[in-house]
Amino acid sequence: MAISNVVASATGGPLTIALTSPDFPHPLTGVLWRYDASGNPVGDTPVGEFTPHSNTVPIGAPSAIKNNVFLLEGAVLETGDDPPVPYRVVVTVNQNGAPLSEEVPEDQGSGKIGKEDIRFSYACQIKVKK
Amino acid sequence: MTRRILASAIALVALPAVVLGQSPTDSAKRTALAGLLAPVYYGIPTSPAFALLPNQPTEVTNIVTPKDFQSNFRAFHDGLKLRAGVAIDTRPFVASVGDLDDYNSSWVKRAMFRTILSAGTATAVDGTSDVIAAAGVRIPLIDNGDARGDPAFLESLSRAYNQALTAQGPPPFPPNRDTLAARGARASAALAPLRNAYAASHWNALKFDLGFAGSLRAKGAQARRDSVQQNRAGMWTAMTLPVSTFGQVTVAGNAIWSRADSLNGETSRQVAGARAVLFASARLNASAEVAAVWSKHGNASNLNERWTHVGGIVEWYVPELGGWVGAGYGGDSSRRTNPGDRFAVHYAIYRDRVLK
Repeated sequence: MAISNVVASATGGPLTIALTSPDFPHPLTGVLWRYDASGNPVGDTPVGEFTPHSNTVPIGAPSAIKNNVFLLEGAVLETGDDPPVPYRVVVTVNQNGAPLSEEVPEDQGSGKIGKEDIRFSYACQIKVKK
Repeated sequence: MTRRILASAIALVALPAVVLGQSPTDSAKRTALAGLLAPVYYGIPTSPAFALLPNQPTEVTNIVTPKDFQSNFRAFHDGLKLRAGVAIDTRPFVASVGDLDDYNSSWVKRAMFRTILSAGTATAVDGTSDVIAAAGVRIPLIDNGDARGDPAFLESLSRAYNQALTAQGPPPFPPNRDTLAARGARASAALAPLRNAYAASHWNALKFDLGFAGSLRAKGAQARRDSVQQNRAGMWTAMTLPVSTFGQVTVAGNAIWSRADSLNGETSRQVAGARAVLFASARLNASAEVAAVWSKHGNASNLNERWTHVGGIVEWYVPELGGWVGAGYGGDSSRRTNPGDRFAVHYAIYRDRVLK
């Protein structure tokens, strides 16, 4: 699975990850896992969770998360669409409110949804420039 | 005690029927009982266009993207003639309503999102090579059972999904799609009780639907203007209302106008009716319905007729019998084309309940 590189400024302020469905009215959910540069999980619980009401998770200051990988394990929740309808989820990494990257997850980030939840995933590594 | 005696009495009376549980006679009795229900009078076709085709399509292609539309549009026409047996449905406004907040801020957007457009073709059944082409739209204007419009329910689903993922611990690194798919499937499975509970509490939610469709007849399947004529048009409407948590009332009407092929042909049929269903307990169901039907012949008004459909069923699950005891009264009133029709009493004992 591809891991995107996101370059943040060392002095640019804290980072957040947002999960949205801007084009279609689908409820999204998911959890955000953190791994260190060697791929070891940081903690046994997620850094944060995404719900339809809360679509942004703070991930910390650049110095604290340098070279860390964040894995968003999520799903588009089905609401009984028959016939199926399209979906497209967007993951945005922001620093101090400004977008650093905006991507549709390569792993099932778009497609069509009917009467089954569609899981998707997105991973990125945070690089820090001075 | 009284209940036990009553059940024993029913078991004794019903014993022959139970012994003949699989016999054609018993099956025919259940069919006759179920025949008192005429759901076609009280609903709207999911895809109204297909209701105007001589035969229901066996396969319907779902159009999701403009690219799908482009490739399937060509399936309707080979350059010279219309192809029969093509059927599509789509939701034309899915990309026009914005995100979930936009959707929930406007009932117009909700209705737009739920609108279904359908189209299909079929060969005419009168032995000609003519092709019938139909197009229609279904507009669910109000749907209080729409899970997408219930933020608290969606939040509870989301929390349950996330909790199920969290309980599995962090996925191994590097992430593997198969592993993530298995974890996702387990998380989705955890939502089933919530969804079942929601469905059980919203099965009779307020709904109001409209449907429209029209069809054309292409002589010899030719798509030229001089070969095409109007064929039929239809309009459906239905409103369902909850009765506490265990009942539902439906008020519906529909009208279909047809081009008559002969002087005596029917030119329109209108139906207006109402139906009430009660699921009083897991063991006791009841249904009552009444509808009036008008058949009109624009070229021969003496053939016009009107009849009434009535149906009432009560069914009771008897554990001692391992099945249902059902009784009903109804049918269609006598009319010119079916002078033998009359209201009648029906009863049966069966395994699969009639009212669902």
